[in-house]
Amino acid sequence: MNLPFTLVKRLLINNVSLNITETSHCFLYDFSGASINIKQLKNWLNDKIVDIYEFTGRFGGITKCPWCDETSNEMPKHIIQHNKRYADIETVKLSRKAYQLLLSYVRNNNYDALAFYIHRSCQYCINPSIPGRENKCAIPESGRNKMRSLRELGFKCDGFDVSKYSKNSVCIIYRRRPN
Amino acid sequence: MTKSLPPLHTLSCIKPQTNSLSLIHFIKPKVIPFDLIARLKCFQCGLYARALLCPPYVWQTYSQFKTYESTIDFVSSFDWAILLIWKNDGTKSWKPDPKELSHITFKRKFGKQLKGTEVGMSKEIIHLMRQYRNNLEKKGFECFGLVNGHCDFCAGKCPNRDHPPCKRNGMPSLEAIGIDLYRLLEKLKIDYEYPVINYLTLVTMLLIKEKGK
Repeated sequence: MNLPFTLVKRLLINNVSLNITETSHCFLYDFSGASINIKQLKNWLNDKIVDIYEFTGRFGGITKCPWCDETSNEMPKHIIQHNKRYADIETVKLSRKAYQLLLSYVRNNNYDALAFYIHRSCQYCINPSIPGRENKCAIPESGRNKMRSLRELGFKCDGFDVSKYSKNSVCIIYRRRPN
Repeated sequence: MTKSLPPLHTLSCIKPQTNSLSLIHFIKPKVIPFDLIARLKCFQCGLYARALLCPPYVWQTYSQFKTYESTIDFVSSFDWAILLIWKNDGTKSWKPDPKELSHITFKRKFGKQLKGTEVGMSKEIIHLMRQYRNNLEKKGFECFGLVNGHCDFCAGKCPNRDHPPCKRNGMPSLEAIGIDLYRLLEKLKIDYEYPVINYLTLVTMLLIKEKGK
């Protein structure tokens, strides 16, 4: 399958530091929910491989609103009522494409692969914290292509410079440790 | 019985009532690999923060799984883990009573077609696991069961869904407590297919120790 991504760089993760922004209310960044602490996460990330990809495809047009399913020919105007920008539609589309990329890893013996945005952050919900769904995803459905953002994680490691990559970059972090 | 030998008499409690139960392995709990990825992948599942015996609610029923360390301690406190491997290529009935599905012609299935087999098998497996657990407890063992996927004992109508903890002795999944299942299968040299093409492999586990230990 031809995926609209080009591999830009492959790095071995060393000396990880994470600085999760306090403002992030999304369940994806609340690791305590899965009883994972930041130290454990850092240890897990160390020695993994990160493949950084640039999205080379086209986002194309859209007639169905990703947030309310309404059809509109003037989507940029319509999404203003959801406090969204056109870039957020691109983010949703990018996550769908990145999920295909992730599957190509998972299906090739890298079952531990996880996909991340570099700059963007998940835009699936209108409001990440809604009453009754605290610490859960605001959208009660599978989170398979809801990706975390390395920027929001405050991810840093040796040889990784966020500013070098475009806003349409995604990465796959993977590596199975030997038995 | 010495502790180094697996309690083979427990096998009488695990009658392979369905022909989809392919393998039974006795392993030491220390062999079981734990990895953070199992819980990280939980975030990607639609049942995260929804199902009662999936993270993060599972700790409200079983506080021993609250942290990584306490999970490993709990699992290590058992003498043996009985690993049950269920394989099906679509041709095997998953009901203990073959007459129950006698109206169905089981045909060979491939890939996504096996999803239906997985759903049917999982529903039956949870009941069988509960039966095995009860049998083992009657024989004087302390037993804890772990299932594949997620607990479906109440068939999707979990009565305590909004009021944890689970009061019906439900079983969490191996992945929910952080077991790296793929690695475990590879360690034990058990064949599995991922992605599923020709046959489905489901794995469940019973942790056992003699009562009072």
